[in-house]
This record gives sequence, structure tokens and C-alpha cells, in this order.
Amino acid sequence: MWASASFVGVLIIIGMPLWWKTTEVYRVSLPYEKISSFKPLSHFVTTELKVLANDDATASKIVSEIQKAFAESDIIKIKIEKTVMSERQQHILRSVVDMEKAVEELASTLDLDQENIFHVVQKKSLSHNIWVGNERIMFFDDEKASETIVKALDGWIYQTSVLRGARSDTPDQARSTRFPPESAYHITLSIVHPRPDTMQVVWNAAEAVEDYIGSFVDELSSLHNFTLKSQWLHLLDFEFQAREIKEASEWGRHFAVRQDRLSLLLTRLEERAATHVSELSTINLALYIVPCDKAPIIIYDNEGRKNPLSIQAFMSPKWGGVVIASPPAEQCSQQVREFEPSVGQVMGAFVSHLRELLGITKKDAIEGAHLEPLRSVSPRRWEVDALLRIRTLEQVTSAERTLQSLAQLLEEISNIVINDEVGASIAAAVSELEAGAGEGAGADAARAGRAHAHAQRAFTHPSLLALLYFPDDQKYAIYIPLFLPIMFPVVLSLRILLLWFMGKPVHKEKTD
Amino acid sequence: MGAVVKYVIAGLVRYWLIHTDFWHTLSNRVEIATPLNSWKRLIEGVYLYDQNINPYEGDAFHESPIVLVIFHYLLKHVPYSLPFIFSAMDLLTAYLLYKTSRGFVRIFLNCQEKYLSDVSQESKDMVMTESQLKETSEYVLSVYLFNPYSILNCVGMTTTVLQNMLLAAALCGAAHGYVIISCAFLAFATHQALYPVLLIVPTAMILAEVNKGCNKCSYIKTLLAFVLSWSFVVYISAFIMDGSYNYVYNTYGFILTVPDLKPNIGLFWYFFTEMFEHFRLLFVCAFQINALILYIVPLTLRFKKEPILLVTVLLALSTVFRSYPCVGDVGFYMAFIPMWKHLFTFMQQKFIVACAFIITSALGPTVWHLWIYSGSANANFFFGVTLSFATAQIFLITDLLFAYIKREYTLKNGSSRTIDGKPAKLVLR
Repeated sequence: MWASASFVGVLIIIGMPLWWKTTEVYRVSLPYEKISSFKPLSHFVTTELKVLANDDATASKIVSEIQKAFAESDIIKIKIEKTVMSERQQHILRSVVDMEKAVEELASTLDLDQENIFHVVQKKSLSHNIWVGNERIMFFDDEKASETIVKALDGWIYQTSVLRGARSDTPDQARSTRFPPESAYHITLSIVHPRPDTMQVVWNAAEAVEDYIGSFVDELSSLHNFTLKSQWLHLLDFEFQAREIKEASEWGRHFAVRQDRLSLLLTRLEERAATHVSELSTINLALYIVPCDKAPIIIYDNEGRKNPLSIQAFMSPKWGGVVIASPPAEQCSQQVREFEPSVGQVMGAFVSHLRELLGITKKDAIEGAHLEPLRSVSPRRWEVDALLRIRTLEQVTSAERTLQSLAQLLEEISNIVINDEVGASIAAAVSELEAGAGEGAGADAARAGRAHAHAQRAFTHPSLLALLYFPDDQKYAIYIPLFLPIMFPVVLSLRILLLWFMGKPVHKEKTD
Repeated sequence: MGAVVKYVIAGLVRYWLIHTDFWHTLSNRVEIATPLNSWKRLIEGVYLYDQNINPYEGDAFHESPIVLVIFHYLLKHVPYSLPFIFSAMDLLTAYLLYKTSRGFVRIFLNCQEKYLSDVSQESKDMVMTESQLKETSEYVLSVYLFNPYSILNCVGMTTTVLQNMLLAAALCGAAHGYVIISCAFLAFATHQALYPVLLIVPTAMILAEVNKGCNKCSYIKTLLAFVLSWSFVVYISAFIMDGSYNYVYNTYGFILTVPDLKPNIGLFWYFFTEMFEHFRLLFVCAFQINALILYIVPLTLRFKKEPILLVTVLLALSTVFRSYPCVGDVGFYMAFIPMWKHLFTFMQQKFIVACAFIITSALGPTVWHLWIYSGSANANFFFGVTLSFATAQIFLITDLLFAYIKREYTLKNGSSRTIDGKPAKLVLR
């Protein structure tokens, strides 16, 4: 009797704690309460605005108008400072007529290079109500332009609708187009030359990338790191299924490609463009050289309207842009064909694609406001500021949402391993969010970036999946084949043991 | 005279077989050579030690440093007489087993004298006489000398030969009442392969029985002697390895954590090939508890009057459930079965067990060949045969135990199975 009792005893006393200890899932404790207290929709950005006018009344009126307009805005808090212009400044503005020059002269008195500070300056006798250029300065005519000022601030400078889209649960059009926030991107320029035997293309890709794209992304170096690459893809052919249309031109015809056919070109490019060389996202810019027998190609949209521009290009959200370059007729009629695409036009198209893909949206026209068109590849200073604000907000809200969904997942599924790395990433993200975007404070850009990186790393860490395929019922499938046969006689003899312990006679048997 | 003939023939058979071509095949067969005891790994370890490389750094060598030093000396000075040495060790083991069984017989008779009053009237003729028991020692000798498992073990030149010798010496010492000798040899055997530590319990009981006097002091003496010898042996091994205890990971650690899953006649390898990483620790612990801890207390409690049965059963159980068994271990405990000749009439499954042994021993190498060389079978076949072999061994053990209990009952109560006139059934509790 004692023998059976000791057998059962050993099994239970040693076996149960052993089982419990050796099959526990390693989970680091996480700050669940802090994570659930995040409110992604409560974040906002802060900025500064300086209003300079010829006299105090105008300045006060403009300031009060702007304050009234942005009072209920929960997405951006503007700190407005009003000043009356000094004699010297007023003299400069009166005497200099050319706007660019005025800005230059004024730059010595105002500090236009400080980030996130915008200046609204009065300049009499403007041809429009307001004038906005490349620098962080807006000229307005008089106090009657206050409405236009507010519209311009809202739509162009601060882009509150895009900010709201960056913060919201569902992405708006701008967020669907631009690449998700990351610390670095690769930009790859691929020149696709389907028939290298029939035509020679003269194009210095490295130089083009360095000059045009390089100068563009230099301005954005505070936001992201960029790696610029270029490659030639030969013998990559694509059947456009273009319809030949006869016309009166030097070619005598053109080939019409439907807009919905173009996305298939991207598939073809993806096969060879080597976009998966690194973990970072790649912005693909492709220049497709059309062979002579298929030239010229003109893109028609879905309603059947021709693309009237001289450069045929299209952009794909979150992927990149393609320019389709057709050689001129006289080149194709020669023996030795040589095609040199116009660098300025092609790279200009690419830069405009890049602006959209990185988050600089198109500016709608506002009545009475003049936006100076872009003369160089570099983005406008205040556009970079706006981009910084958008990215900050996006990163803070995305980090909070990521952490919340991760915490919910980890709480619900109890057999996901949380190892030290993941725990440390989550803790770091939470501390950065608390420090950088706490209650009532505007979002801090650097902390937002770090918080976002930590949250992403925790969320996509592969160690979380280590035990995901062992829900509790499957664990029993592992134990039972081995332990059930052993426990079978134990369980059967438990009844007898219990009776024996309680002192009752077991059976009428002679046992030894 | 007859005994000498047996020794000579057995020795010649072993010696001759080592010198044939079969030696190569046999020393590489998985049933005979495991990662713990194979000859190949031994000479590998000795060679590394010779070149002043630590043989425990890699995964090649898993013997204790004392064995390393012994064989280093032997291989350096007398490499050509190693077959002779192995055969001699085996013959010495047989002799020690003979002496052990003689001692056990004496203990049997003493025990019987003590409890003669309990024997019921009608079972008086079941009591054993001296002449009956004398034969058992002869049978033990023959079984060990001519058992194919022991012969194969010796021909394969595995270190299990050494281990069997140490175990036989320990049991011989215990049977004759020498505490120091038996504990020292048991400590050596434990140091080589962990599982003989189970035998400390029956050894203590046998020593207490043989050395009349207070039982408790005998137990304490035995335990003390064992612990001291074991610590001494561990310390000497560390001394050989220049003071580091790292060899423990490769010897005891290897036996306990089972990292090498080479197929053998045990049950561990198959389970652990399909084990998920997360559960490995649990299952290693469960298997080792099964082999080491689980059966000792219940069996001791139930059979405290018969320590020799405990020896037999614990040897057999540790062989079946250990992490790297080989046929040498099987051959060793089979030598103890003839001592229970008087239980054979009560055993009900002798035929099945014998057939199972023969069939699985023949089928094992066949499916191995099919699996590894022909590629038309797979691991399940081999494991199935191995599992049947283990089941046959377990049937043998339980049959033996059951037979013992039946005999005990019959001695006490006569051969009629009635309680108050009504027929009853015997149950193993």
C-alpha cells in the first residue's frame, strides 16, 4: 500500500511543479495601463507665427483673425507674435519691387532659417492679396487680405487637412500616396532599355541622380536618410497593348496606351528592379525608353482623354514613378540610332513624383493668393516644415496605435513569448511617447521618430511568433500520448489509496 | 573442471571473434556501441588526450577521465593485447558474478531460516534446499559466459565491459559484507554511467543483512562510504583534467540532457527527435525521473525483505529506461535471472518473453538495414522493434515480480486460493 502511495506521491510532488515550471511561457511584464491610456486622437503640433505690419492696428486685426480661425483647431496650436515693422524694414519693402529681392533684403533683419517659424509681413501695393515664395515668409497687402491669409495658412502652410489625415484612424488620400514614415529610404533610378541592340541611349544616370535627386533630398536630410542608386535594366520588355492612331505629326502616328494597362508595367519592373536588397523601403523611379517601332507612346486616361504634356509619366502611390520616353522621329530614321532624353524634363517629372511620394502635397489655388512656382528642385522651406509636422504627428499616432494593438494582442493571446528585447523596445517607446507627446504638449519630432522606430521593432519582432502555434489545447496533444498511459494505473489506484487512507477495509482479499 | 572448460571456451570464443572481420561491423553497430561506450570514441578521446587537446571540449568523448587515463596507458604500452584484456575482463566479471550468486544463495538460505515459521504446512516442500540453490551459481556463470548479448558486448570492445566488471565487483563485495570494497566499486561504476547509483539502496540493505549488527549504523556506514568514494573519484577526475570540473558537462551532463540522438535500443532518441524545443526540458526531466527516481521508493517499500530481487529488478529497469542502453547492459542483468529459478514455476509469460527477445533481436538489425542501407523503411520500423524489445524486458520484470509475490503468498497460505471457503484472486498491489 505504501508502495502505491509513494509512487503517486512522487508523481504529484515532483511531477506537477516540474511540469508547471518547465512549460511556462517567458513573458516580460509590460506597462499595460500606460499603453491603454494613450489617446492617439488627442495629439497636436505646435508652431510659431510672427506677424509684422506697418502699424499696430493692422497687426492686431490680422492676429485676431488668425487666432479666431485657429482657435478651435485641435490639430495645431499656433503661438502668434505681433510686431510693428521697423523703419528700415518698411523702407526696404517700399523701395524693392522684385519679390525675391525683397525677401533677400528682409532676410538680414528677420531670421528666416529658423525651422517651424513662419512670418506674415505686410507689403503695400501687392498685385494680389498675398504672395508666398520659397522662404518662410508671406507678404500681404492690407488688413482686407486677412481672409486670404487664413485660407493660405490653413491650406498651404499648415495643411491642416493633411495633418488631420495623418492623425486619423483611416488614411486620407495624402497618407495613401506617401511612403510610411521611416528613418531612411532608398531611391533607385532604373533606366529600362528593352532593345539595346536597336538603339543607343545616352544618359548619365549617376550624374542625373546626384544632381537632381541629390539636391532635392539634401533639403530633407533632417527628416530621413536617403541612399541614391541607379541601374540600367536591359532587355526588359513590356507589351503595352497600344493602339496605333494615325495622326499628322513627324511620326505620322502615335500609340495610345490605356491608363489601366500601366500598373502591369510595374509588375514587370518589380521582377528585375531588385527592390528587396535592403530592409528599408525603396522609392522606384523608372525611365522606360520606348523602342523605335513602338514609339511614340501617349497615355490615355480611362475616359479616353489624351495626356497633353510633352513628358509622359505616371506615379504609383507608395511605389514610385515611371517616365515613358519616346525617341524623336529623326533619330529613328537614321542608321545608327542615338537617343538622348532631356535630363531636365525627365528629372523634373521624377522630382514632382518624389515630392508627392514623400509627403509634399499639391497646393490648390486660392483666390487672391499667389504662390510663386518652383524654379529649382529644392522644396520650399515651409514645405519642409510642414512635412516635419506631418511626419511627427503621423509617427506619434502610429506609435501609440501600434503599441495599443500590440498590448491588446499580448493580453488576449497568453502564449505569445515576450522576451527581453521586445519588452525593452516597448518600454523605450512608452517612455519616449510620455516625454515627447504627453498631455497638453505638442509632439516632439525627434522623440516621435524614436518612439515610432521602437514601436515598429517591437511589433514586428519575429520572436513573438515562437510559441504561437501552441495554444493550450495543442499542448495537451503533446502531453497526453506520453503521460496518459502512465497516469492510467495511478488514477485507477487513487480510489483504493483514498479508501486505505481513510482506514476502511478495502476488499475482502488476502493481500500481502 | 567443468567450470574451467566453460571459461576457456567462452574466452576463446570472444578472443577469436575479436580477431575476425566481424569485429569491425560489431563495434559499429548501434545496438552494441552507443555514444557513451563505443570503442571508436574511446580511441578518439585517448588520441586527443595524447595530443594535449582536451577531449571534453567537443562532442566526441563521454567517458570519465579515469577511464581515459587507464586506456591511455593501455593503448600506449600494450595495444596489441587489448583483445586479451577485454576477454579477461569479461571472464573476471563472470567469475565475480559466480561468487556473488554464491553469496546471495547464502543470504537466501539465512532468510529462509528466519521466516521458516511463517511457512504454511502444505507449502513446506516448496522451501529450497542447499543443493538446489548450489546449481544456480553454475547457471549464472554459464548464462553470463554464453549469453550472445554479453559476447557481442565484449567483441565490440565497448567500455560496458569495464562497467559490468565494476558492478559485479561491487555486488560481490556487498554479498560478502565488505562495505568499503562494494561502495568504492559502486562509486566507480556510478562515475562512469550515472545509473548504478540506484543500486546503493539494495546494496545498503544487503550489507546490513550480511553484517549482523544494528541496521541503522550499517546504512549510515554504507552511505558514508559511498558518498566519500564518489566525491573522491570525482575529485580525482578533476585532478586528471588539471583541476577543472568541466568534464562533468560531457559525462554526467551528457547522460542527463541527452543531446545526441543517435538511434539505440533505448526509448529516448525517438521521442526527442520529434520534441519541440519548448517542451524539451520537461520531457528530459520526465524521462530521467522515470529512469532514476520513480521506481526506487515504491519497490524498496514493497520488497524490503528481498534486497536481491531489488538488485535484479533495479538493474533491469535502469537498463530499459536509461538514456543510452546497449546489449551489454541487457546481458548483465540477464545473468541474475537464473538465481530466481525457484520462481520459474510461477512465471506465466516465459514463452512469450523468450520469443519476443529472439524475434526482436533478429528483427532489429534487419529493419536497421532496411532503413539505413536500402532506404525502404524508416525510423518508425526500427523504433517499433526496439519498443517491442523494451516491452519484452518489462514483461520479464513484471512477471518476475508477480511470480515472487505469488510464491510469497503460496508459502504463507498454501496453494489453495480460497478465503473463507470462497475462491479468490491474487492481485499485485
